[in-house]
Amino acid sequence: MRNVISLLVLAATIVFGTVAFGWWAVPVLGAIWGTIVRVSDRPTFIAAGAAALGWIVLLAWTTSQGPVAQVATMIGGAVGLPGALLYVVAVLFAAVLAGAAAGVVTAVRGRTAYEGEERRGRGAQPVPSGDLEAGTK
Amino acid sequence: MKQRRLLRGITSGIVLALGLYVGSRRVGSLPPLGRFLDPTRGFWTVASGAELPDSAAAVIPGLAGQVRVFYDERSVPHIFAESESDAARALGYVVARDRLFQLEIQTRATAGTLTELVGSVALRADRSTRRLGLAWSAERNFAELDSAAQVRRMLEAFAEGVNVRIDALEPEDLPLEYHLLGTEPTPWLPQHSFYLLKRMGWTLAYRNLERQRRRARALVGSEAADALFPVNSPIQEPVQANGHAAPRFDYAVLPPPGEPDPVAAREMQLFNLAFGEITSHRNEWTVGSMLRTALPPYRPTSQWGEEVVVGSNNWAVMPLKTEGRHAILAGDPHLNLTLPSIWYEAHLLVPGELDAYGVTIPGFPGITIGFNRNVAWSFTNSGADVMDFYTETLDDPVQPERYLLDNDWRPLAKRVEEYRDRSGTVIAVDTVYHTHRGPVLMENGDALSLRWTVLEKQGEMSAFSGIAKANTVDEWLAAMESYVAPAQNGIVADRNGSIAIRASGWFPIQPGDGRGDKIRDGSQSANDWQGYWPVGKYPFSLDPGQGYLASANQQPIDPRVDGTYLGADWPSPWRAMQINRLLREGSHLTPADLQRFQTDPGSARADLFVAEFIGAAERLLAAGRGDTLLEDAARLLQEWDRRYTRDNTRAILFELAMNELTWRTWDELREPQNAPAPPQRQVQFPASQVLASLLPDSSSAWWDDRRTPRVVEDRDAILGLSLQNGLMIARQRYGDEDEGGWRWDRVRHANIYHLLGLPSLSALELPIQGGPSTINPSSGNGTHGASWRMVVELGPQVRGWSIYPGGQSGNPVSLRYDDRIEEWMNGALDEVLFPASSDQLPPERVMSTLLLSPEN
Repeated sequence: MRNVISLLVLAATIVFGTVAFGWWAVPVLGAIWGTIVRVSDRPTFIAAGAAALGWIVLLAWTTSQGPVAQVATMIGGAVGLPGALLYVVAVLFAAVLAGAAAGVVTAVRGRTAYEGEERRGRGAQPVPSGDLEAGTK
Repeated sequence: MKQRRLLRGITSGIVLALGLYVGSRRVGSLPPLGRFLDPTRGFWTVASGAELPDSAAAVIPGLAGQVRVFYDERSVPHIFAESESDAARALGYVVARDRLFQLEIQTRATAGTLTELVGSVALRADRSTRRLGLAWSAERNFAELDSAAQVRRMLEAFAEGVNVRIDALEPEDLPLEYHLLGTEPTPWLPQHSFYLLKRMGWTLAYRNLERQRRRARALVGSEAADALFPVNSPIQEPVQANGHAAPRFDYAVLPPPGEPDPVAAREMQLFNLAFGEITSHRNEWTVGSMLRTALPPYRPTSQWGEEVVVGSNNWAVMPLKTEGRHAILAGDPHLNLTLPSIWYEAHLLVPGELDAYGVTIPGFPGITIGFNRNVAWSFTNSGADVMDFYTETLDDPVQPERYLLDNDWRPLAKRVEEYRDRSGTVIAVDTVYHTHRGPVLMENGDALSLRWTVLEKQGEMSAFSGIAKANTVDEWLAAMESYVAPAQNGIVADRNGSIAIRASGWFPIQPGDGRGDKIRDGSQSANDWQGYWPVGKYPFSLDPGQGYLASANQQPIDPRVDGTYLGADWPSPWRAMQINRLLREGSHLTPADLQRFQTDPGSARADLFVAEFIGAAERLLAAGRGDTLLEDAARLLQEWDRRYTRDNTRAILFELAMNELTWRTWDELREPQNAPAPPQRQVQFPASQVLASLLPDSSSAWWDDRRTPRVVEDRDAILGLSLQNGLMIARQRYGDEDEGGWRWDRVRHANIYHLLGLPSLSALELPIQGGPSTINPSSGNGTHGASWRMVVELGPQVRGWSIYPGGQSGNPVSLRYDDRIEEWMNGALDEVLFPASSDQLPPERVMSTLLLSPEN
């Protein structure tokens, strides 16, 4: 449940960020998300999912403003792709950017935390089985 | 564990770096994907800005007063301003609103800066453009304008309107093409309007007669080549009425093919060295097709491989021949068809000064073809020879500083041309040299200079401004006196019932024999142009007894009336013959008749050649020299009504037979089959009017097919072979004649490409009525055609009808992008709304309003 709420909150933030600052908001917010949430909360997946959801919402809104499907078909025709695939590409692009940005920050954070704990003599804790966002506990 | 984390971090980092890279940088022909795919700023937003809002407002600081713009239901802006300058500002704004990318690409194509838009793929085209010096000439012309000149004020006002629009662009206003190319609009400069006119000059007046003539001489000798490409049309139906009630056939016996002329071959080599790139790539050197190379390629092919026929028409009839007893004028300029169209329809109204309706070329601050309350006008290209070449002697073949003139070394003007890519990096540098005549082209120590009226003084702006305000034919003709290039057959009619036509533009006076189709020695100033024809000598007719006037690019003046050399590249007058036939026969003509004539499916060429084919077949069959195939072919051709309607099923046979006839007759101009045949050796075939002039000479050496050394063919043999081969090919390609595959609309189409050549943004394979040499000519790959059709009746209330293939909007998503194409295909025209004041605009016909205000 907490993850769902996180995803929705971040998706909403990405919507506003994209409207206000453009596509650069997506990796930036992904990175921020990777910084502020616990590593065990899977920030990479949440960020990717939230970015995808956020851009789906934005695309849906944009589509309601005019014949976007027609534009997509035309652009798709220009580059030899079905128009619908452009929607998929856009959503994937946002997801990859946000997820990768969160992943980088998470990895850096994880390493920093691990080293800090080592210096304090506590050592690293074993990672729970199945936790793909492994780090220190 | 540390290693997994490290690996995951590195992987994420690489993915992020790649994502950021493709998001912010171009990769290949892909735009930066971040902005491109952004749902709030990317290409998706183009949809929301596709249609005009019910009302809008903008501030243009330079306006002297408010300007109200009403868009009617055809999206035509009616601009109500208080001064001409304000009207120009408003026009700049509304054109940029609908056609911003078109403005940019046209300018870059002329300036030779396409590389900055699409990268090094455009370098060759840009180099060719800059070597011709179009932009340089435009800039010189602009610099020569007095700061207080009316023309300058109009250009600056127009530029302000465009730039206000650019500065206020919202994401949804950015044209789709900018999203695709990943660029932003560049500001519009006043001189860019001159660029546009220069480009139009290049399109219409770049005619290298010297090169074509030499190609033929190199193969069949001078005497034969000069006869195949004659200075005067063998069929005379001139623009200037010559008092004849029918065309005159001035056929002469063609001398037989002679020995190759080595001098011509050498001269041709000189042309190829200097101008080969420009001319041999002329077809590629259009914005659309050039940019196609930067994007997925799409190359339409010709159905027949025949000569592409391009032509414009205009005509006017006097009240004595019309039902309403008012003059009526019709015009349909034919150009490369593009989406958006080369034209933009508008109405400019400044009380007491200007009230003109018609089309403007986006980038031009006024109406170029149209009508006002008292006169209507249109143009066809004259095709006069306004371009000449000179061999130059330079002081250094590689880095020259001076050229020789009358035993004196003169300094060369130099301009360093830098070519930049999309990032602004210089990718090439050229030095372009000019003599007092024009640009110099150098290769391997040879140098040719070019003199061309298009690069000389600029007089078109003031002419177009003047004709839009003319009240009578005389005033219109007076305003056109300043016109320079490209030379045009301007037709005009007024409300008093007067009509006139005049070939206008600067026509050079050549030294010596007066011929312009030769290369002259540039070291002697005596070989320079001696001036220009006085206006009084221009081909001209006013209120002729025949009651009508017409032009279709044919030779403008009967050489028996005035034999002064004006050019040597006149198309066959088939269209003029058909127009004149229709107008001669008409006595109670109406605007609807003239609209119908614009797509008339009849053909004077078919009338002439069908009879010859059938006559030859009958003679061959009677002499026992024919078989059942020839009998079938003659029967099928006889069934043809000689009309190129869309459902016609016999025109195909005739065109295939004509194609065979052309290739078999002029086989001497073809390269031997085993020859390498480089592009520069491919010789253009003589016009079909020359082929017609050969028909009376049944045993001419030209009929003999050199590929059959043991047989000497005569005219009937070649006509018969062509006809039966045409039938064989038709059956092979399209099936038997009654299976439905021979419908004309299955094989002949118009193809209207988007400016970037993208098929998904184009209108392709449109079935239309017309064939080669009909009034609405359709040939080749269908990329040329009637770019604008207009009919105007000059009664007490002026009424106008118009259409062009496309729509007012440049946004491919807009309903206004291609909403006129279907009507255009069917030959229909819309009656236009021409209100004298905003009060006369029916509210139900206003779809959008725009209020433009000065600052504060």
